[in-house]
Amino acid sequence: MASRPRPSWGSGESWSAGARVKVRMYRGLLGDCFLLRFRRRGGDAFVLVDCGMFLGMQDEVAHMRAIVADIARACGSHLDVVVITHEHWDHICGFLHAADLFDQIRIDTLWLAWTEDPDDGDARALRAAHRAALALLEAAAPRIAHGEVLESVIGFFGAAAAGQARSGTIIEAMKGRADTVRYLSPGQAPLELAGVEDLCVHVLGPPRDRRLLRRSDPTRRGGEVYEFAGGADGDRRFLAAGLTADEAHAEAVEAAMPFDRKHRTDLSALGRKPSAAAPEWIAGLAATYGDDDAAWRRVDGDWLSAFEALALRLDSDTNNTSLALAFAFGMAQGAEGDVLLFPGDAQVGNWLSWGDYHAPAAPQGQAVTRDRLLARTVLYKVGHHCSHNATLRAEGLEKMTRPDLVAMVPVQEDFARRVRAWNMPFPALYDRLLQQCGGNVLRSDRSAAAMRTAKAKLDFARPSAVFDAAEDAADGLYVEVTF
Amino acid sequence: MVQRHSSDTRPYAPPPSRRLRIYAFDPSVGADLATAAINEAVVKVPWERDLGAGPMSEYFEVIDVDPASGAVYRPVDLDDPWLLAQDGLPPSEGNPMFHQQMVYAVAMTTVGHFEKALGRKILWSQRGLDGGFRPVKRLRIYPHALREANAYYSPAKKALLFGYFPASLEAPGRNLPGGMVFTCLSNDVVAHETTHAIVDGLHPRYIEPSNPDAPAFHEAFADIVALFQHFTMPEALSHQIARMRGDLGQRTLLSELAVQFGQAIGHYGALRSAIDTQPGSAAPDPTLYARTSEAHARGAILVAAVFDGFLAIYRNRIADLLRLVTGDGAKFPDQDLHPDLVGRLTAEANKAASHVLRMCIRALDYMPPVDPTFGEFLRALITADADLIADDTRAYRISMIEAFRRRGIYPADCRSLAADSLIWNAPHNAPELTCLDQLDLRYLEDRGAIARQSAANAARIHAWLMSLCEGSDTLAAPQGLLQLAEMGLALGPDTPATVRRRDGVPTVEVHAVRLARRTGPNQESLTQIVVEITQRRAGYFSPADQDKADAAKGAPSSDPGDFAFRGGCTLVIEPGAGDGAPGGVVRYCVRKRIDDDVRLARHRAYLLGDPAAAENAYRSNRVKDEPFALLHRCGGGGCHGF
Repeated sequence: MASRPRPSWGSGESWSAGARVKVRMYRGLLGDCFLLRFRRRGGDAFVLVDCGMFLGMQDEVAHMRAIVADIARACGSHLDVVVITHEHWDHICGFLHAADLFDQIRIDTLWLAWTEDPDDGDARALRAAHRAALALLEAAAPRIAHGEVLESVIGFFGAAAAGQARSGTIIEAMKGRADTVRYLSPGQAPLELAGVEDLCVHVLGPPRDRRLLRRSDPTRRGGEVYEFAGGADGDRRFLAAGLTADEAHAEAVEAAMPFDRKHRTDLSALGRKPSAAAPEWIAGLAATYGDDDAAWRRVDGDWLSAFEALALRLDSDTNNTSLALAFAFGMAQGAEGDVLLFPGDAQVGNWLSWGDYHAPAAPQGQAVTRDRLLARTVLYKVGHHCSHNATLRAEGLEKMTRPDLVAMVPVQEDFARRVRAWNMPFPALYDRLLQQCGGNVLRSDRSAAAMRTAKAKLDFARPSAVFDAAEDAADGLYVEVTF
Repeated sequence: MVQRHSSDTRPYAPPPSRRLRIYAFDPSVGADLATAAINEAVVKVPWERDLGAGPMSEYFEVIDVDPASGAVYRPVDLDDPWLLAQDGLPPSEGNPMFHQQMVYAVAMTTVGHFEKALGRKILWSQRGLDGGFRPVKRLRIYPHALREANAYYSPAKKALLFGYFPASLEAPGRNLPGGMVFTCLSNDVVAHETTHAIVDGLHPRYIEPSNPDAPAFHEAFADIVALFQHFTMPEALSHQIARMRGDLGQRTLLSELAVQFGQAIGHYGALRSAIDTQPGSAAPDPTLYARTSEAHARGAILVAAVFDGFLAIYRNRIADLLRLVTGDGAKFPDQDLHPDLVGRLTAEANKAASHVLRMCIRALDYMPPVDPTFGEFLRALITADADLIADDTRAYRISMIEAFRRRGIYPADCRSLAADSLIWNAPHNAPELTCLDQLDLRYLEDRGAIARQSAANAARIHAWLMSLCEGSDTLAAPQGLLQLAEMGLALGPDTPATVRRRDGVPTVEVHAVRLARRTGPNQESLTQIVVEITQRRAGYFSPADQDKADAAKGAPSSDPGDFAFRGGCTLVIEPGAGDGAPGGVVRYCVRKRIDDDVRLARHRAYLLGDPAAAENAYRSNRVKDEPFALLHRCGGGGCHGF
């Protein structure tokens, strides 16, 4: 499809002197959607990082479509790069809801994490395990009376029950729309954006180390030692055996039984009116366990809540497969540089793995490491809607020491707290973030103007030209900053 | 209790106890040559007449349904003569009826320890229904309810749920890789979960996470009971003492919790240990307490403190014996011990452990009714002991204080760490107990009757409390209001609007009125009434909302707020001279003021600052049912288990 001439950005103002990139954060969604516009001679370059919102937010489809229409307008229906950080609904559902609009946008390159690479053995194993776990959860979901946790996790991956496309399918469709697909691994050569001067994109994560991929919690308490008894596979088989009465799986079902057949009596014997021939003890148990007045004490479904643990695990494992990118200006030439950090929803293990990052030095410069990147970060896209375990403290936020640091938080506090009962933004982290940024924090559930008002009340506020110049879209669709 | 029924014409007295075989620790102990000899133990549980199949007893109903397997297992009948003649079924992993026998035996043993220490029968926590509370006679035990490495007490179902799971394939310890591990066959796990249920019966508000110590306290206490029950099995105790040549400060089977469970989940050892010092180092890390927030890990610090206190008491008790053998009262022999010495050391260890366990359990009666902290537990421990034994000749109290101090656990608002400053204060404005002569203080045998008696007494105390603020609108009863304030309660006209009201009047809940008769080691007898009184106040995450709601005039709002903030007191009352004479004094008033805004701010900060607590806080209106299950699973972060 032919590229149309690119219209100018926003209300038509030109680039101010020294400005190199504009970052547009779309609002009104608990989810990520960021459009980056890089200054380039002969036409700016556009990078879209994620496009999604949580299942169950109001006007999900209409709002996503409005956003994608704005993206198309802004980029002249031509995106140089689309980045999908990971396979969660709140990062990708826009690609489904506005599929027809994306069909009209030319996409040069799609960047995905190595975990999506069909030719990568580790990635295949990882995805197979994820698929198996997800299938198990879907099988369990109908049997769980109040499976809120389970359903919301399955929702992350596109609710099959609701007739939605699966997240895997959405990513497949995006692969079809892009001219080329690149799978990125930490440690590979930094990427460039054709024609954008002085820009290197460093790939920090997801880690190749399985141990780090699974580490999601900030606690040190032996997390990696015993995620699941018997290993994830054995654990799944053990749980799955309880869900099926299928003859084909009779052997697996029997293997998971705690006692020999001779000790077992079918549980349904307690439900029927015991026949005269039934042993006395059946009648006795039917009278206690089957007593309707004591129905509140039955445990028929309690074992199924083990699936919740599995669901939460799967969820944080997926967050940890986030593609973590650092868009770095001017570092290759040995200058100090400026960095825009987009970690997706990376959790603890992913962050920790960046400690090993080392991009070889340019002839006259020093090597680029995690610490240098963080020290030069001017924009931090806050991970996982500012939840408690998606921003590392000592090895992360505390190393972002620039006084002109700005943070962008994609969050909807009201929806998260009232509807989902999630603690987002996590108060302790949010407070620290405000301090670290000197109050220069933008949120997708507030206008830039409102954040400036809020900042004025802080006693540690630091002036920031970038923050002061952050623009609100007239219709409130986005907030935008220029660096 | 041993009872003879009048209809019984047998010429024999009923047996005082029932002997039942159990795994002394768990099945893995039998797989180790060094410990195989003490794999099995026989416990004596109180004889219960007409014990039903299940077992179905006065306190418990064991129901062996396994929904994940679609199976039900036949209940064991422990009254069958064939089983009576052989101390129950022999230990077996493959026979579900033995599993039922073991959970009953261990749970009953745990109940026995509590009843002996508290001097009264224990009651399970009541079931909230239609705005009221209904007593629950029996705790249910489901030995095979879950397919996971987990076991928990369900306050909603008044039930213990145990899981089973395949041992780790990669690092199974002494288990068969992939072989089935049953949590209900671990003495520690069963004692731990039973203790959760008993503590919930005593202090139903302790399951609310109001500070980092609260959830940790529940876990720690359950571990303490499980741990000290190890020392009540004489064979295992003397075996380990002989093996360690008397030194219990080393890691032994006695000091470790849930060995098989820990190994089966790839933990390379017991799940938890009561010893927190590294080999070769005498001092624990005093900063750990401040740095640790996860409930089990934080609880482990309290467990280690109590165990350390126990070790000091034990060493103090055996110093003379050591001096006879090694010439040094602090030095353990470097040769194997004479069997007589093993016998004497075993007796001392057993005695010290049962004293410490009793001290800990008694302390529960001296704890505030809400929002417990470790520091308060130390004060309760010291007060309970001082109340019973005037002279601390064996240095029990000093040993405990020292062990807590070494771990950085200090009580708030104490002038010094001397034992007498830690004893709770008697109230300055002692409430006049005008209601005392209306209370029914008879000693009753039947648990149902005890529950009714407690409810009737609670109603009388409630009426008395309300009478204290009568006429307070006219400032005619300042004395009554002062007394209420002393008890941490707010009932007067200045009460914050967020304190829960009924018909416009602030409400007070009298949780429990408990009668306790106890005997100390020197045969002093002691009768006390323990009363727990609480109030509820709506807490808000935003201090501005809080101020607004507190100051609201006019019709008090029924908004429950973002979280429940509770206050109140535990009154320890000594009724008269013992011969039923009127009078009586409030010995202690352990209070948590409902109008304490500093504590409210701390509670709020805790809920907002701790990920796990915050999750509970936000979920509190949604899935409140299984706090222990959630706690134990930790969102997959790696803290499975009981």
